[in-house]
Amino acid sequence: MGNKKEEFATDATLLSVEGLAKKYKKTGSVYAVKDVSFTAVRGEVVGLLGANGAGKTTTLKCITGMIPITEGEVFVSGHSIKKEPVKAKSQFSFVTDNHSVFLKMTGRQYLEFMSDVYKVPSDVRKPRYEALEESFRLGAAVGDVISGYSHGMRQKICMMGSLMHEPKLWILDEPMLGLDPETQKNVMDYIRSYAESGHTVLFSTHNLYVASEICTKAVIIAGGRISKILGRDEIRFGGRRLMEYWYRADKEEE
Amino acid sequence: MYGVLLKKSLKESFSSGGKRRRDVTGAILSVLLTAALLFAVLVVLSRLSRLYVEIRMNGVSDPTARMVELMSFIYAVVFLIGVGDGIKNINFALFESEDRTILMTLPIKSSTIFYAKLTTVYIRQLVLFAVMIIAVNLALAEAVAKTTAYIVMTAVLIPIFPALTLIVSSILCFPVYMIKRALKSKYLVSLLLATAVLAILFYGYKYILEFIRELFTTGDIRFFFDDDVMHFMMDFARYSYPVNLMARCVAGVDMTDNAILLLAIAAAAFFAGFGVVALLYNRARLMRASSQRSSRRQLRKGIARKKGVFHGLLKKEFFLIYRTPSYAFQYFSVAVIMPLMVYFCMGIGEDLLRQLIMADAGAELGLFLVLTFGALTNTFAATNISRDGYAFYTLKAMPIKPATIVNAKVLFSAIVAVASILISVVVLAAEKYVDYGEAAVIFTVAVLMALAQIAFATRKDLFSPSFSPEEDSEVRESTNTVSQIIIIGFLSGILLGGLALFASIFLSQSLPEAEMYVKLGSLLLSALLAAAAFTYLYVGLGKKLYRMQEGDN
Repeated sequence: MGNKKEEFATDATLLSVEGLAKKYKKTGSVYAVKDVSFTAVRGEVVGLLGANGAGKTTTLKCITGMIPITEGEVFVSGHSIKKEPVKAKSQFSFVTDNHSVFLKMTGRQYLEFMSDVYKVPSDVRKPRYEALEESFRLGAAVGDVISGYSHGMRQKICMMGSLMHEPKLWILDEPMLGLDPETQKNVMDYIRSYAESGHTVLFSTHNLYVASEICTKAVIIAGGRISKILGRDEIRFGGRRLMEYWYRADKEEE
Repeated sequence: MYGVLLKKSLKESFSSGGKRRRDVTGAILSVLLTAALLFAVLVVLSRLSRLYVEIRMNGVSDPTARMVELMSFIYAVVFLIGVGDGIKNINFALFESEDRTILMTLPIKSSTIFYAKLTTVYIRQLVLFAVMIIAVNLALAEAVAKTTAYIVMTAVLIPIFPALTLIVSSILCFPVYMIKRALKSKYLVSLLLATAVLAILFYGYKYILEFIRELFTTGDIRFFFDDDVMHFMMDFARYSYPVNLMARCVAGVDMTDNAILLLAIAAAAFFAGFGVVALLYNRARLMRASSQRSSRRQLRKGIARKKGVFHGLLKKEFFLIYRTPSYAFQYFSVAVIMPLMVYFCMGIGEDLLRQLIMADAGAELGLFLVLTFGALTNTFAATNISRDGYAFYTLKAMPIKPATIVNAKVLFSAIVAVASILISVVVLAAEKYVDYGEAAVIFTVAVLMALAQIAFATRKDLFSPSFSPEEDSEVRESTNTVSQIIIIGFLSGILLGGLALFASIFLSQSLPEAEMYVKLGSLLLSALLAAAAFTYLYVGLGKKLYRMQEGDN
């Protein structure tokens, strides 16, 4: 463990996924994901790309400890998600694709709850909330009970809550799903600027345009396995190369 | 199309839901409870009717007139139950049923959809009334001559009753929905109203219990049915249309005239009921559309100061309960009512014990009642995990120790349990049913048992949570754990309270210190059970929580 922490300290690696595999009880011996290994360093925006059912959400849930890992390891800032879950989890926050949130709280109460859970100091809560409000523009709805929110508003409050403690690693599952174009653009801008300020972002998507616009690394996943990891130059090549790899991965899977 | 929709609606209405987890214990328990309740009502009604028909007014005996009065009153109660059930079912069909949004998009007339739904409501009520009318008329038959007319009219009443209640329910369903909607976001007002209604019901319940006790111990009901009450009953039988017509038909008074009038009213009511709901439907649709807009309050407050993870979790529990009317009712109101239940039953129970077995066992009875009724408040802990819905999984991705998550839930359940037990024992001591030493022992034993039940329930729910698939995640169905907690509560009440009672009656003669040993034994046993339950909750908790995953539940 000591070596792992040193390694993380020296090369700025924030997330290391090593040989991750997951089997569900329902599917028996079939792996939902297998041999998934990749890293994310500070300042990176890593996109987990794949078709529906490719294993993106399962991978993210394993990384965040939402579901148990069958094989392999996940380290966040050198802390194993299996052995030191509380330390590992305090380094990141996760926005789920279904915007699971405690519906009976008001937006403000949810932000307070997330601040309490992640032990955000009192003096930074207000300025941080104001900065987030500037980007996500929830407005006076922050005082309403979340159960009355629209899909997009729930997505916004989940994102705001997850950012209250300024996580080193921000993980999002399909963050653009169901958002209007303007909010999509705002979220993309926020992800880009968040990474530029020294944080790391990992998100799943099947939107190649979004990936080509903001990712510095793309992990293409098909049939539960990584088919290709692309660097910044390959991704930004007009998105065409990204599409080629996507289709190739899908064809190989078939 | 009407036939297809009716078939679908009936299938859904009468099936137990194949995909849902079946609560076998709960089903058996509810059948047993219903049977026991029905039996008790039949016994009381049968005894009451025999005594009531013998009441003389101005020295004159008129059993038929008395029977019409009693039947009119009982049918009125049944009528009100039917109206309540009708409002609930029509409102569900109009505003809450899952399929309404899907059906709206299909090429089916909205009136056809709702005629099918209304017919289903009618058929459901037919079943409800068949059970109630047959049971009531069987019980009342003890006191009257069982003529052919009595039997035939009983059968005729079954389809007529729901037709009549349907029209009243149809007219009232919309105002009731409006009130419910207005109260939806006024959590405190709803809670206070629910508690007040429940308290009033229990106040009435106290009188019913006292009446039943008098009925069975002395057989004299004249103290209750004095001249004022009898005149009220006579007036009620004269003016309570249409239930008085039913009573007259069944009792064989002016049968032809009353039957024709009743059938005419029923037929008119049946068609009017369909018409009213069809008219309401368009309005209801508009209401749904307009209800999407929510009032926006201006944001004035900032984000609260740092309070800690545990505090955050407690607040989360509070908001979830406070803003879900059914949870708030279970959590706050039942706990407020528990001391009332203990108090009412204590007075009656102590008298009965003294009369039946010549025993003075206030403390033991108090322990039995506090433990038994305490179990009702603890059933709330049976959904400690399920209440969060699928959002519970998000807690797994947060840096919170498993014990902290569980501790917050246990503490929140324990607060209300301890408070209600404390009020109960204070009431028992203040009313001199027990002395302060006995009150302290009852309090300690009951708190330990409550903690044991809460810990056990939380662990059971963690092992097999029933997350609601509904958008609001509200757990609406009773789970296996709820049934188990009720059974455990009753068993512990019977075991500890019953043992204490047994010892105080039979051992106190031969063993002078028996009472002290019983108290020590109760304390020891409850402490052991609490320790066992908490061990069961905490051992392997981290591993269990880590392994928990969506799709398994």
